Formats: sequence, structure tokens, C-alpha cells
Amino acid sequence: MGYFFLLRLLSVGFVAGTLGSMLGIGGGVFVVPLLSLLLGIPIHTAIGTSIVAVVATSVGGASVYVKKGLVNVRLGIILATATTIGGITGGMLAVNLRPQPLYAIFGIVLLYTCYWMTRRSPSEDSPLQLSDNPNSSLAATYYDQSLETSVQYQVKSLPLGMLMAILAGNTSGLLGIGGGAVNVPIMHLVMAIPMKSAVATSNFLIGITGVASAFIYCARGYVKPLFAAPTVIGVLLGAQLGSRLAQRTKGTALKQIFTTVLFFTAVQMILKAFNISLIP
Amino acid sequence: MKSIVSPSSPESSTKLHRWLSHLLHLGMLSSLSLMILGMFSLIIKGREASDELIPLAQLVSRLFAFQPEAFLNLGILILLATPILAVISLVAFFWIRRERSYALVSSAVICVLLLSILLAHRLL
Repeated sequence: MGYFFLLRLLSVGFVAGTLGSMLGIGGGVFVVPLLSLLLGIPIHTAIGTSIVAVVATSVGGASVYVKKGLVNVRLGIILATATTIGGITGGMLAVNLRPQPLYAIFGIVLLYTCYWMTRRSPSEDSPLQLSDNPNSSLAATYYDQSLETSVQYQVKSLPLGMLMAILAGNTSGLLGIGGGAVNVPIMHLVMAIPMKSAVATSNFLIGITGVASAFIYCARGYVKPLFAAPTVIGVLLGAQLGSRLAQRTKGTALKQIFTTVLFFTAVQMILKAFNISLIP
Repeated sequence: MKSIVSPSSPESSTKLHRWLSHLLHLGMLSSLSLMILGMFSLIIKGREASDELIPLAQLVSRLFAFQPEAFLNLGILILLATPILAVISLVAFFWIRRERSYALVSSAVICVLLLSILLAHRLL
């Protein structure tokens, strides 16, 4: 493997990390299409590489989120029982699937991610009222800097949330995209967790979930250190840049442009399932 | 989920957050340092490297032989071990704080992760 290829992997990681961080969906969504469509890496290896990158993003991000008190650790560990089971089943399914169905599933999940991104609103970060709730030990408080107030919340519909978390874990293990795009809506819309805490708790969760499926990809030889290391370094550097750019580009048309890019990537992934490529 | 009702004071949460943050930060830094070291040694040595994972039994000897691939492998290993260590530390934390329900839930997550390693071993 030449230095040029290592540099391309580093660049792919950097671009994926920057875009993923700017859009708040993690780099995994971009790593797999970029590695498989642009660099021609087999999709199973691309997913294995992405899972390692997702774990790195989670560990790096969670260390900051946990320190700020945004992660609901108790809720995270309860949901991890479901997401890790989903992660294992997703990983086992993926290593036994041929590439074509994986491309198609990936494309469909990307289309869903586009839909979710257009629906997501930052104004959903509002303090919630504490109410009578059986899950009182899961109640949490964090300080919201933008609202300049402490936000208290309780967790609702835990059993339903856990069932849906299995699906999130399954998506993560199957496609190596972390599952934030599934976890966050579940926590926010179903479990009534404020958006900031949902994003932070999901970030903590995807690392544990990713590890559950990573071992399966490692065993099948789909995690290659020479692919994973430069991608991870690139993703982490890109995430640093992305988080800074995100503050400047918040609310601008840039997000719409990237969502459009994601949409065309989804279409290309679906076409790839039928051996049609729009990329020369 | 009424069984999961246990004392979780703000002080205990703060201690938990601080400890977890340190652990994750340390895991991230050591893993990233090893990967960067491996990449640089690979470029300096200027030779073709194996892109397969090194079996654990050979990893230490290859590290002492200063093989770049060994550093990349160790970096990835530490990265994957960090969330597991975080969950293990949660088991200990909840057990010490007498939050037995959460200690049990954290232990269940460890069991699922062990199951994943076991399944992966069978796939080899």
C-alpha cells in the first residue's frame, strides 16, 4: 500500500469527520460511501473501518460531553443492553450478506437520515417540566449554556425506547454508521429527553454499541489496521474542524447543501446495488 | 422498570462524570498517539506492511521489534477496549455507591460484550 493511498484514507476520514460533525450525525454516514464509492474498498471492509472510526468519535466526543454533565449515564447504560444486542445481530447479519443488499440497505438508511435532518429543529432544546414518572432515578439535570439555565428532565416510555434501541444497535452493526440518526430521535421524540442530552447520551452509547459489532468484523478480517488508523486520525481531526465550523454555519443554507449531497450519495449507493455507477 | 429506582445524588453523578471523562480521554489520547506513531514509523521505514490484524499472542513480541503495524494494532485494541473499560468502571462505581440495580444492568452489558467476543472467536 503506497503513501498516496494512506493520504487518501486520511483525507476521506478528514472530510467525513468534518461533514459528520458539522451536521451532527457523526462521520460514519460519510466514511462508508467515500471508502466504497471513491476508493473502491469492498463495502464490508469499509463498514469495519467505519465502526472503528465511530468508536473513536464516540470516545473522543463522550469524554467532553460527560465532563459537561450532558450525558445521562444511567439511561445510557440501560439502553446499551438493547443497542449491544442489536449491534451483535446487525454485525452477524452484515458479515453473512453479499455486498449488493448492503449497498441497497445503506442507501435507504441514508435517505431516512436526509429526511430526519430536514425535519430536525434546533429549537427543540427547551427546559421540560418534571412530572410524576416511575423512572425517577433516571431524572437528570444539566446546565444549558445557550439558554443560560439548568434543564431538568425525566425519562418517559423507557420500555418502548429500549425496543427501538435494538433497531438502532442493529443499524449500527449492520452499516457501521453509529446509529446516532436513529438513537437521537428515539430519545428525543419517544423518551422526551432534551435534544442536547439526547445527542450527548447517544454519542456515549454508540461507542459501546460499536465495540459489540467491531469484534465480529475483526474476526472476519474486515478491520484492517492500515485502513482504520489513517481513517480514524482523519475523522478525529475533521471532527475538531467540523465542530468549530458548525458554530459559524448554524442555520445557514450549508446544511441544506450537505443534505443534498447526502441524498445523492444515497441514490448512488442504491444504484451500486444494481452495479450502476455514476462516479467515473 | 420500577425496579430501577435507586439513590443518585448530584455529587455521585459529578464524581461519575469526572471519572468517566478522564478514562475516555486517556483511552482516546493513548490510542491516537499509538496510531500516529505507527503511521510515522511506517512512512519512515518505507516498506510494505501487512494489513491484517496481528494475533494477540504475537503483538507484544512485534511491539518490542518496533514493527509499525504492531503500534497500529495496539492503538486499535486500546480504542476498542476503552468503552469496555468505561462499562467495567460503571459496574464498580454503582456497586460501591450501592446502586445495585445499575451495577447489575452494567454487568449485563459486559456479558453482552463478552458474548460478542465469544461469537467473534467462533467466526475465526
